[in-house]
Amino acid sequence: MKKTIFPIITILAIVLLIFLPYFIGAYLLHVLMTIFIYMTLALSWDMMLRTGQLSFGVAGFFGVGAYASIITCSRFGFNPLVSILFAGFFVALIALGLGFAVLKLRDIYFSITTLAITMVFSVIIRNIPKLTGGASGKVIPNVIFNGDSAKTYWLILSLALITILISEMFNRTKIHFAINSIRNDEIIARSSGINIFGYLLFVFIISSALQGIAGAIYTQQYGFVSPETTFSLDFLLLPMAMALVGGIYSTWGSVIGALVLGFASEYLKLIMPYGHLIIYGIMIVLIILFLPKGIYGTTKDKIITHKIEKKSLSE
Amino acid sequence: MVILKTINLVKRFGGLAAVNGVDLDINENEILGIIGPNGAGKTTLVNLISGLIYPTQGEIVFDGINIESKPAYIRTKLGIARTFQLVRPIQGFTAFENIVVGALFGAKENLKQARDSASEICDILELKRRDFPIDKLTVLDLKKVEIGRALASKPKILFLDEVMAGLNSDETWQMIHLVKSLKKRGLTIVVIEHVMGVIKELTDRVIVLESGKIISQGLYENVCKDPKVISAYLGEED
Ligand SMILES: Nc1ncnc2c1ncn2[C@@H]1O[C@H](COP(=O)(O)OP(=O)(O)OP(=O)(O)O)[C@@H](O)[C@H]1O
Ligand SMILES: [Mg+2]
Repeated sequence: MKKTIFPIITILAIVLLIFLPYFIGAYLLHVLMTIFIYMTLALSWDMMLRTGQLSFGVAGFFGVGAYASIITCSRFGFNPLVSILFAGFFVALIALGLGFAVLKLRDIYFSITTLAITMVFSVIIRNIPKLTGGASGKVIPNVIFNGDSAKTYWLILSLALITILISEMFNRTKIHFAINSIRNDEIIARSSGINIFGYLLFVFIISSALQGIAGAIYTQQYGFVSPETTFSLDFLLLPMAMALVGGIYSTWGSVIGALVLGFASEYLKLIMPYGHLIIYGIMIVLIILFLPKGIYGTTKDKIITHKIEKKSLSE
Repeated sequence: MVILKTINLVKRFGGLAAVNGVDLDINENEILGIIGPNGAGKTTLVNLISGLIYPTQGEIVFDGINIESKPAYIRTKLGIARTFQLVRPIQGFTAFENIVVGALFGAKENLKQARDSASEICDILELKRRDFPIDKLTVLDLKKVEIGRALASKPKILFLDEVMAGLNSDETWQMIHLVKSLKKRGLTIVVIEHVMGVIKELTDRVIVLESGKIISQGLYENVCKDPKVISAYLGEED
């Protein structure tokens, strides 16, 4: 029964999400768009974490994707949608090159290096003003779909759904066994026949490309990039908080985390224009303290433990 | 026929030569025992052959090809499998899933094939609590998971690094039966053990390592009487 209900719920949810722009107002739609962008970042960050690598490079790839899209649009006259795809390929290529260096590193060395790379990206962009507009940034005359928010929403929704699909594929195929083994014990992974570097590179490229595409779509929405705003560490810290609050190593953890923190942040902003960030921060800390595996992870654990206990009793 | 051969194999850790010029021939479908006092270099030898560390010097030839510079994961795919002296199950996976990993990557099977092979291996090993998480398993179960993951990669040669350690005599007998049945399936097996009874019962041939060198080899009965072996073991006791 559970097997038939789940696809039906999924299809209903997707249909509902597609038709949402006809039912809800511009403000709520905008909130959802932001949540879906962050959801994409949270999930893609988590994909890398599942291999055991804590990446601090999310904002970097996000920013490079944003710049790649804006520059190809304004300088080379790319269609915005094409420029978004280009941004994805461009970031994937950069990840491929960087991967050969950073994926040899582990633990804190990997994390710090990815953070440093983010800084390097923004320094490079500041220093080629002819192409990037330098420190003051760059504006394009037209935002994507001429500001049609329903179309933009569908674009962002597609990205989020594709990311969820990829994440589920990572969790249901051979890849799941590879990356879980790598995270748990690289020596066992190697001696079980797993090409560790190959898998790390693959996941690194996919997750970076998703971050790049998210950055591209996000900035196409506003038609503006600047080193400070586009490489803002918010694009790293918020997705991390969302994945942690929802539960790492899973698709639904990041999805739930993005929804909970996304709506909470909007609501807090409304009820207290000043100081909402403090409450927001306290909320994140409390959830992580009391639900160390996140909302989804803790709930799932409880159910599994319950099942095992029942099984042990019947044995 | 020789399936695996090492030629003047050396591994130095700083000044210490843990493996010091080992020439080893392993014949197809034999059970070879490797014994030697603590620190003799037995595990280091297995690490060198399975590719977790690279030799300072020397060659390793498997099935006619030189593998000493190939990465570990390639060697597993070629047919070299090993267990670990301290069991290393993958946390977060069930016993069954641990075995699936070997089949997926070592034997290059798809998910469905790997599940089938894993449940076949669970049957061979008589592993009952296959759907339990690792931390709910007994020592014997964990050893079986360790062997199961290695077997799932469909190896031609299997190295068992002290799989009997920590088992009671009943369980040890079970293991001995198991290893013998694996030989009947055509596998070449190398057992490293401290318990001489096990070596005597299982092996076709024995090699004695001391300070990284082979000091004696041959039938168990003869090796036991070798004065060099006796003094190596007596030397360990004082
Ligand atoms: N990674 C390493 N770095 C430095 N020294 C090492 C390393 N691995 C092993 N050694 C040393 O090499 C020697 C051989 O160790 P090894 O583990 O191969 O012995 P062993 O014969 O398996 O012993 P045991 O019976 O205790 O398992 C020991 O002196 C050990 O301390
Ligand atoms: Mg040892």
